[in-house]
Order: sequence, then structure tokens, then C-alpha cells
Amino acid sequence: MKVFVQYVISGIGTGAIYALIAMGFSIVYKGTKSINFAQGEYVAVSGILASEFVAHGLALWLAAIIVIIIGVGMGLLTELIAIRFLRRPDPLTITIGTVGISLVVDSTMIYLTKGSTYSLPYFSKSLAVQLPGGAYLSTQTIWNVGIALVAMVVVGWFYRSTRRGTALRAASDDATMASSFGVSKGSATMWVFGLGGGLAAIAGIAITPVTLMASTQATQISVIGFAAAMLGGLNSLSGAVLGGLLLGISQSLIGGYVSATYVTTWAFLILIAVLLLRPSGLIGSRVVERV
Amino acid sequence: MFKVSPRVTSLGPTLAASAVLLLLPAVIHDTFEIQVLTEISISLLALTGLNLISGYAGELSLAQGSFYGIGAYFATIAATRGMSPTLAFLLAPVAAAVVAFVVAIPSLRLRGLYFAMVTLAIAVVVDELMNNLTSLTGGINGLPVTSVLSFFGIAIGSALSLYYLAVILAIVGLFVAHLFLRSRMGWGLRAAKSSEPAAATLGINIFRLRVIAFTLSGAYGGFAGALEAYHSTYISPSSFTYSISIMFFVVLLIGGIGTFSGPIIGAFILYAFTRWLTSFSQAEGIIIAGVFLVCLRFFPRGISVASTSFARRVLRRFSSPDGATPSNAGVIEDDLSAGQLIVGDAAFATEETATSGELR
Repeated sequence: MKVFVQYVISGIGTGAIYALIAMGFSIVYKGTKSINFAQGEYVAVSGILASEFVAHGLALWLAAIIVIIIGVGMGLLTELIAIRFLRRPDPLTITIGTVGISLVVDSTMIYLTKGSTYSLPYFSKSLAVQLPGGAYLSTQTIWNVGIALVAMVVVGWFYRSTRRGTALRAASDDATMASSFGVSKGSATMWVFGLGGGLAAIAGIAITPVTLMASTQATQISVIGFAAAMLGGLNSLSGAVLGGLLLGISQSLIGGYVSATYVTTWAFLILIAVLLLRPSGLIGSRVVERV
Repeated sequence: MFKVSPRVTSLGPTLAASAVLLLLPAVIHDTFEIQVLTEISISLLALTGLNLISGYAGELSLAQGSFYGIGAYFATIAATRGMSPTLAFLLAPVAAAVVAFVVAIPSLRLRGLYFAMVTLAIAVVVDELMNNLTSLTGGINGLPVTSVLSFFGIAIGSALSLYYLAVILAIVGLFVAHLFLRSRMGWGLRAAKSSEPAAATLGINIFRLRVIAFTLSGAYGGFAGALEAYHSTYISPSSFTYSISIMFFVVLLIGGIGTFSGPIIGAFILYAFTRWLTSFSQAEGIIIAGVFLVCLRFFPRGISVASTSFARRVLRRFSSPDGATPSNAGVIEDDLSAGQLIVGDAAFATEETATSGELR
């Protein structure tokens, strides 16, 4: 039981981060109906940069702010290339464009880092606290859950209560209609890509202390994040959160009781199962049509 | 101007490519060049398969590198575990096709980009399995390929004999793709790509056709992989990562996705990249992706369509003013019709079909 609780707790820690990555996918999907293949690359770049900055003596909070700004910048740059430069608004071409961008970022990262692995210290000095039942709670898990919660609440508030958020929701429902009310399609896509990049940067900084980071992990992160988004329902933000948590917990349990090697395979099997049983996700509305 | 013939694929590019590839060894005696040409034939095979699912069926697949890997590992492992190397070689595409089929059933039910992401997941999972099933795949160290193939008593030992095997398989592959695309199934597939509701109304089982296309593309990838194993005589997970899948997709798009000559051009582009960028191979991905994005912007339908429409413009300018068709326009006409019928109404990168790309 103690071990079980331990696994669930660490699963919630990684799951919270998966939720952030999944939210990035959902936000971009809602805004552009396309999938941003470079999402995992943002996470990896952010983790690596944060680690480099801290290694060069920057305070963690300062490094985090800079990296988040860079993350937003990467998102905006992706939008600039995949939408503006290509001048083709159909979702498939945007997606193909992000595939190209992810290849650029991947090769650049591998070229610059030579495949080495980067780490960050835990955000707190003490590594873990003991719970009443005897299980240990890593301080980084507390941090990550907290960070993810704050990010989710802020994004949720932004979408529900701000003028810009309302505009984005309108644009994702019907971009043409929204643009006739003064919400330009261009600004809407900039916002969603920027938001996605920022969330990925936060995720990259938070997960690097736990799992370490290497350039080769980027695609794996994309797949896991997308599986989480699919699990909850690609067009639902709360679905992304639920999907991320479920995926994190189940991965942690599988890793603990079965094998820690086939983590992505597990995410993949979940993805296939969801596609078969409930393609619209657990709480997503029906977006996927069966042919 | 030119009559658009209802033919969708032309054997012209195939025959031209076959003739060139079969005759090249007569002029080239350098083993290294022969090996590079073998690589072209191998990637031609993989790209032709990818073109079936991504070009003609219109489903973005990022798993071609995985089928390539499955083929290579199957051919190698089965041969070292007692199967006749030739039989293992011939069964490799079957193994890849079976995997493709099993994955296609759940994922192709969904329209649009979900399938793309599932194929990326396949790529990551196959990579994970190749790295971790150490007892079977040798893990990160890979496996040496020591067996020798033989067909009808002819041992495939030298670089030249392997080259001929690869070229013959590539030509057969192109020919089979040609037959497939001209069959009822091929027509149905393209009809479904231009308008799913219309195709469904005509009684076309779209799902079934796409599963067949993906399974076939897996088989092509498997054959290419099995050839690659014997070509490089050593396989390791690093040769079959997902960046290979993305690379295949990218060069196919540059060459002209959904056109018959697209894979041929793509294979030569891949050759050009690997041949000329070896001195700075680290930056290969960056350069290829850069070229890709520029192509996507300026020639969204790929080089094959861009060049045929260029040829058409030139011909129009030089054809006689009374509109008589120049008698030597046959070849170009074939290619034009290919470009227009297939790509013109495709969901890929065409503005007029921006609405058919709806994913809701």
C-alpha cells in the first residue's frame, strides 16, 4: 500500500507536467485545427536552456523567466513560419510545416548538445518529506503540481474571463465569424502558438529536475503529450489536464509494477485504446468523425 | 490546349528511371558510386510506398522509417535464427505489412491529423523496442548482417549484384504501384481524397481502401529495410529513428507528393543530400528542413508539378499560334495529367481545398 501510494504520488507529479504539454496541444488545436509537432521540441529546448543558464550561475527564478520568454518566442516563431511564411491557412499544411520546424529544432539541438544529458537541481533544498502513511513525497512533485495548477488556473481564467480569451474562444468556434467581429485570424493564431510555447517552457523547466533532459527526448515528449491530450479530448482544456494526470499515474504504476523501460509504448497503447473506444476523448466533445 | 488524358499514372518516368538505373553500371565502375545508387533504389522503394498512403490516400504518415526498420530487423533476425536468408528477406515486407495493418485498423478510422500523430507514436515505439529488446535486436549495439542472399542459385555477394537486386525490386515496386493506382482501388482512393462524401455515395469503402494503402506502404518500407540491412551489412536503432521517417516524408514532399514521379525525384534528392552533405552531416537535418520549408512555400506541390507546369508554360509559348498541339508533347502530357488529376484536387497544400482539409 505504501509503495502504491508512492507510485501514485510520483505519477501525479509527472502527470501534472504532461497536462501542461497536453494543454499546449489542445490550445493550438482549438485555435488552428492543426497539431503542433514542435511542442515536444519546445519542452526539450527549455529544459536544456534552463539547465545551461543555472549552470552558468543564473538564479533559478531568473533563468525560468528568461526561458519562458524564449518558449513564447519559439511558439511565435513557429506561427510565423508555419502560418505566415507558408501563407496557407489549411490545417494539414500548418501541421506539415510544424513537422519541418521540429526537424530543424531537433537537428540544431543534436548538433549543439552532441546528445548530452542536462539536469537541474530540485527547486527546494530538502528533497522529500515523509507522509503520515510512511510514503515519501518529493518536494519537486509538490512544486510541479503547484506550478501546473497555477498555470492551469491562469490559462482557464484567461480563456473564461478576459477579453482576449473570449475572442480566442470565439475564433476557435468560427474564425470567419469572429473575424467579422474584429478578431483577426492572425492575432488569434499568434496567441495560441505563443501560449503553447509558454506552457511547454514551463513544463520543460519543471520536468528537467525529475527526468533530466536530452535532445533525443523531444519526439517522445510530443507523443506522450499528444496521447494525454487525446485521452482527455483534444478540444478540451480540462480534458488535457485529466488526460495528463491519468497518463502520468498509469505510467508510474506500470513503471513500478511491470517495467520502467517501455514508458512510451504504454502511452501508445493508451492512445490506440482511446482511438478505438472513445475517439473524442474522455470528456471531449465529438470532434472526430468516423469515416 | 492539351487534352487532359484520364490516365493518372504514366509509365514514362518509371521506364526512364529504370533504363537509367539499369544502364548506369555500364559507365560507373566505382564501388562507392554503385553503393550510393543502391541507396537511391532503396529509398525509391520506401518513398513509393509512402506516396501510396500520404500522396494518394492523403494521410500523413510519419512511420515509414519504422517499417523500414521492421523490415531490416526481421530479415536479419529471422536469418540468424535458422530461417533461410532468402525466405527471411522475402517475408520481411510481410512482417512490416502485418504491423501496418494492425495499426491501421484503429487509427485510420479517424480522419485527418490523428492518424499522423499515431504514426509518429509508432515511430517512437518501434525505436524504443529496437533499443530495449536487447536479446532480440542487440539493443543499441545493433546486429551484424552476415547471411548471404541467393536467388535462383545466384548468390548476392558483390555490391553490383545487390545493386541489381535493389534496382529490380524498385522497378517492380513502381510497376505494382502503377497497377494499383490504375485499378478500381486506386481510383476509389483518389476519389475519396478529393471528396469523401461523394466517394462514399458511390459505394466506395474508404476505410478499407486506406487500410490497404497503408498496409501496402508498410510492405514497401519492409522491402526497402530488408535491402538496407544487406546493403549496410550492419543494423542498429540509429539507422531507423523517427527522423528517418520525417526525412522520407520531407523529400517526398519536395519531390512532389501524390505524383508518380515524386518518389523518383525524392529519391534523387535524398541522394543529393546524403552525397553532398556528408562533409557536414551534422547540419544535414537543418539544411533539408530549411529546403523543405522553402519548397512548401514556393512549390507547395513539389518539384514534379512545378517543373511540369513550367514545361507547360514554355510549350505554350512556343507552340504554334493556331493552337495546334506540338507532336512531341506526349510525354509531358502524360506527366501533366498526373500532376493535375492527382494533386489538383488533393487535400495536400492546395488552396482551393482548404475547406476539404476540415478536421472537425
